Order: sequence, then C-alpha cells, then structure tokens
Amino acid sequence: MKSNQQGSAPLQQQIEQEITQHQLSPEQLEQLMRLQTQPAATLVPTGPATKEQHSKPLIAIAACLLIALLAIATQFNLSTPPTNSDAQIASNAAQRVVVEAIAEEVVKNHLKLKPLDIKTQSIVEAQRFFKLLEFSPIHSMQAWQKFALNTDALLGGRYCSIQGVTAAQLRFDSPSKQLRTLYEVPYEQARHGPLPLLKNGEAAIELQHKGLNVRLWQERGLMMVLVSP
Amino acid sequence: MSFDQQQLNRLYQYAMTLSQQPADGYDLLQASLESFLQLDQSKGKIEKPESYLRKLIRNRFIDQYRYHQRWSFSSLGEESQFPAAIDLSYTSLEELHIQRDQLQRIWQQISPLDRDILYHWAVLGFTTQETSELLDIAKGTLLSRVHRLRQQFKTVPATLGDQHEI
Repeated sequence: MKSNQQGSAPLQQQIEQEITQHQLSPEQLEQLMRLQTQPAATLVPTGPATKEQHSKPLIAIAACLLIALLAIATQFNLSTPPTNSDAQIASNAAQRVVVEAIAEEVVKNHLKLKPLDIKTQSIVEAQRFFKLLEFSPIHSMQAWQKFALNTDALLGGRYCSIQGVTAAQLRFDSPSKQLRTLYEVPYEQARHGPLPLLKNGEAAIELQHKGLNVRLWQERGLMMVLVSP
Repeated sequence: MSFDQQQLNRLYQYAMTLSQQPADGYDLLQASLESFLQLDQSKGKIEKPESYLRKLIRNRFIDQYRYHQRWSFSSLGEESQFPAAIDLSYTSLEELHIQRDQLQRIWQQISPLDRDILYHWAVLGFTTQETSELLDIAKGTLLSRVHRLRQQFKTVPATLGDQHEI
C-alpha cells in the first residue's frame, strides 16, 4: 500500500465535494420556490414544441407579409385595390395576429424569470453591457409617465429575442414586489404593424395573456412591450 | 408536491454535473421543474419526485443541448473486452486517491455521460447494477466506461506530486 501525499483524498470524496460545491443563489431559490406556488395553468409549456407552437411563427410571418403587401398596394395604387374599409379590416386582423404572437413570446419570457445577464440599477451600465444589440436600450419616459414604471427600480437586464430579432429585456421591481418586464427592440412597421405613439396622445395597445397585462407602443424608434401582473 | 431548498440545491448540482455552466444548469433545472409542475398528477402519484425530476433534467439535457450524438454509443463488443473475471466494478474507483486540482482538470474534460455515471456513484451511492438500470446503459458498457475513467484518473498529471492509490 502506498502512502497518500498531502492534499490527496479518495476519489469519491473529491467528486462529491466538486459536485456539492454548487449552490443556488438566494435569488434563484426564491424564484424556484415562487414558481412552485404558481397555478399550473399559468406555467408556460416547456416540452417539445407542439404543432400549434411551430405554426405560430409561420402565422406571424404570414401576417407580416400581409401587412407589407397592403402597404405596397396602398402606395402604388394598384388597379383593383381593396376598399379602404376592407384593407383596414385585413390590416387590423393581421396586426392582431402579430401582437398576440409578441404577447405570447414576452409573457413566456417574463414567467420564466431567467437569471439576469447584468444586475444593475443604472440604465447607463445596462446600455454599456448590451454591446451585441443594434440599438441602445432607453429609459422609457412613456412607461414612467403613463404606466408608473419606476425606472429607479431597475434590477438589471438580459438578452432575449422578439419574433427572431435580438432584444433587451429590462426587469423592474415594484413596491408590491411584483416584477415587471420591459422589452425593447428596434421598431419596424413592416414587421410590427403600426404602433401607437404615446407622446402624440395615442393609447398603447393593451391585451391580457396568461393573466398578465401586456402593453405595446413605439418610442424613440423602438418597440416597447411592458409586461405587468 | 413541492421541492424544498435542500432538494432544489441537490437537483441544481445534478444539472451542473451535466451542463457545467451555472446559467445552463439553472435553466435546465427551472425548465424541468416547470415540466414537472405541469404533469397531470391525477393520473397517479409520482413515488419518487426528486428522482423523477432528475430524470426530466437528464432527458432535457440530452434533447436541448443536442448531446445525444455524443451521448449515444454502441455497447457492441465492449462487454466482450472485459471478461467477468476482471473486477471492473466501482471498487476499482474506490481505491483511487486524487488531488483536488487533478480532479478539477479532468472533470471538465470527461463527457457528460461519464460525469453522470460518477454522480450516481459518488453522490447517490448507487451500485453499477443500479446505475446501469437507471441510466439505461448496458452493464458491460458501463463497466468499460468505469475502466476507462479509472485509467484517466490514474494518468492525469499532478501539479503538487504524483497521485497515489492504496
């Protein structure tokens, strides 16, 4: 039998120590405990994508194409254009599909509560962090003024995507400890349809999804999506 | 049924054993927990929830991280390489002593499946028979992996001195 050198220990013991050194942070534990208290109906399915889930992006793409075609048809005054009311109805329906697809995506993200890529209360620090974005996330004045989003309660941010475009999600705390998430992504009318400008007095598009409130608007060239309990 | 903090930490450690990245490990645990919570438990009570969730984590890891190409392997011929007379059980690993830094170096390099096997041995205390049944690996294949792991642990260079065995 050979003698053991200092620092050497049975393999089993070393492996156990290697594995058990990993511990969830208090924040992660809290999130997982909170997850277990949510009603099952509000949980987002995470299994293999169903046929319905696969088809939703396709519907969204089809809706985008429809919006783009309507815009072209209107611009070039085609010989047999649809009447204004028909075009409006079709456009509204197409946009509703897009908006619902966006709402589903952001609510899914919001409920997952994935760890933040950066934890900061400073939007400037968050802006410095999001180097891979093709835009600079902003503090939304409209969210603050119209929806009482306390911009001082920023917790941090995380990369995500909305309809395939890289976006920023900013997470905010609230006095009631209910988290709110603001998503920001470059606004493209052909992709997102016409979105209201709140500074002109227009109202945000508002809908409910999985018991959460989702508001959409455009601000300083960005599409803003706010998810609140 | 809900998991307490101690159980969640144990499950996170398993997810970390497979993924090796804290963010991936957490995502793996959270997504698997969501799947567990959505199960229709009216169809029957899950006898061992922690073990069941560990299985969900493993399946999700194989699916999501597309390790199945590296994960799946043929056991043909491997059993015949190691006659039953040769002791290839976990006992051969139990004899090994190793330094922490040696383990850390090799831990990153070995495959997720090998880490999975070692987890079931070192943390859960399973026998090779139990491990092969739980992980659905042929006994001979498992033993040959254990044999290769032993060889790897024996040959990993030490920084502070040679490794020793009893």
